[in-house]
Amino acid sequence: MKYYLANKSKGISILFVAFLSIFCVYIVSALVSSMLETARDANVNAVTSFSFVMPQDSALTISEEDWTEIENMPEVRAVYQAFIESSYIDTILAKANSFVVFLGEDDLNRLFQDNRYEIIEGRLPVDGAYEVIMHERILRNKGLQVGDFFGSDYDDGESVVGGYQIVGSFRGDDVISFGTDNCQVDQYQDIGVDADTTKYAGVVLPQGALEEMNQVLDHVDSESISFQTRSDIQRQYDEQIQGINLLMAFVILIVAVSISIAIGAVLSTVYQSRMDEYGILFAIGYRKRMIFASISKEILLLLLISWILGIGASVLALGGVNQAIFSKMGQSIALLNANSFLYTGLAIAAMFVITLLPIIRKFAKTDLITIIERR
Amino acid sequence: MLKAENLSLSYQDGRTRRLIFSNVSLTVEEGDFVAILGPSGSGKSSLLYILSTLRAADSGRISLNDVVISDTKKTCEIRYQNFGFIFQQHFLIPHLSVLENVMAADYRVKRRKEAIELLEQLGLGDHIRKRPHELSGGERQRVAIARALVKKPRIIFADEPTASLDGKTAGEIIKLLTAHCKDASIVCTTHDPAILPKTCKVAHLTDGNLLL
Ligand SMILES: Nc1ncnc2c1ncn2[C@@H]1O[C@H](COP(=O)(O)OP(=O)(O)O)[C@@H](O)[C@H]1O
Ligand SMILES: [Mg+2]
Repeated sequence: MKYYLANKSKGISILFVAFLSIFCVYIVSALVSSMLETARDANVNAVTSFSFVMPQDSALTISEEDWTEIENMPEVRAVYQAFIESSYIDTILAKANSFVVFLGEDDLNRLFQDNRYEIIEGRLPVDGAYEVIMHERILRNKGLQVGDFFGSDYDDGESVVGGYQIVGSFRGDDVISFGTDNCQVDQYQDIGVDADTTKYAGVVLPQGALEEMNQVLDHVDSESISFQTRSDIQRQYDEQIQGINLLMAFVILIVAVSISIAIGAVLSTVYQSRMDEYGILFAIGYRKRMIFASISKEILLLLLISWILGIGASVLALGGVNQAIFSKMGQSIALLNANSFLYTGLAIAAMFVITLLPIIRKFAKTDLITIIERR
Repeated sequence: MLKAENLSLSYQDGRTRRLIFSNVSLTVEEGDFVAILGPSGSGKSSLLYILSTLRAADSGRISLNDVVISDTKKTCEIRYQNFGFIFQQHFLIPHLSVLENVMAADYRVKRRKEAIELLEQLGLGDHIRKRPHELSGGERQRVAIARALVKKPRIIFADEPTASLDGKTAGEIIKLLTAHCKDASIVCTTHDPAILPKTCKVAHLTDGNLLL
């Protein structure tokens, strides 16, 4: 380390390059993590207190038979007739799914009572009106307020068909939106489908713990219906993010490898120029292994310093961006998140190995005594 | 103490092998100052490197206190335990201070006190925080002496320690060296007999033979 204190420009240039790469990796992985976290919140956390039942792809409705069968399961307390649509929430890099569940007014009231949702603004939707209540985080993410309108009539990017007024926001475990009357259902009714008896989908409430019920639901093997449980959605979500994670790992690998080659080039000239030092140490009784360990320690220390500085700078930068932009969009960045530590750690490890390899090779091949003999 | 028997060395020179020396035997007793004299290219350095385990001979045997050291792989440990080195070049580590350079001699024990004492005795008390490039040639070589002595080795190997110094400084360096290693033996190569103390054993290396 004293070498780099005495040769500051070399130390600083290595630190700086490693620092920059750590900074990039941290920022990218934090943004991706934030996206995944926001997406997870709206997906997986949508079904924290209940599960959904839906007709299998080809069917449009659930048959009376199936319905009764579900209702009669001992783990199921009740099934509320529902119509489920998908809206979206924004994440930093992409849109993610967010459910909107349309229920009868009575069922909705009961659901709110049972799950102890807290209405923090406005009121619940009522029958006979196109109204929704949204989880506070969804509302904030969409940049909407109670009183605003929402739906494909107002927003081209919205997949929820029609137009609804947002009449309230709530706080609760399930990150989701609820409505009563549904525009699509009313259209079907206009062409003769009875809205009261037709079961488009259901909200399945557990008798006891949700996990117990879900375990049973996950094992129902039916050709006409399918359940959307927390574990299902988690699995779908995991599958989706696998690709993203792979891509991220790839990007990080590329960054780490190319930076490592740059640092490696500087380091090998540094250590080449220090061969005199190692020659004399070897002559006076240091083992090659010890000399090599001290070189490794030195490089590792440099990289660790870059790591800490890189993380520090990233956290500061992300904190600023978070305050300025994301918190206003109802998205948060976990400033210190495990993924970013992991990925930057991997980058450091890759840099360490890649920079050290050529030095090891060179070192193993060098006859240190020759260095002294030649003078 | 150090006993070398029948050492031979040759180098590959194009297609033929060139003999540097053969059947060289030498004994260094405790407190000896052994000078290896000979013209440039006669193989003095090669012999010193072999005696000090830095290089291996083609044949022959070296033992230290009756333990054979010429056929072991653990030469680093032998050098660390027993030997001190001074070369023509000082080989001080440029980014370390004078004191740190001397202390670098021992990787197990921090010999700070001994190092400072020794540097003071060698007249470098005011320079211990300086870096080598701030010193004169003679001062640097004195630091190298301190580095060789600080572990109290049994034998100091010095390969032309004064060759890059002017005559007056060279004489001083040899004086300091002999004055400060009363307990240690010294094996010193040189092509200049003028610098040697009167009480030394001289061995001449000429035409591949060592004449005592
Ligand atoms: N590694 C080597 N390979 C081939 N020849 C060498 C090597 N080292 C030394 N020599 C040759 O051996 C001879 C003796 O060298 P050296 O021991 O350095 O002599 P001195 O120290 O007496 O000047 C020289 O002719 C030199 O060229
Ligand atoms: Mg020589």
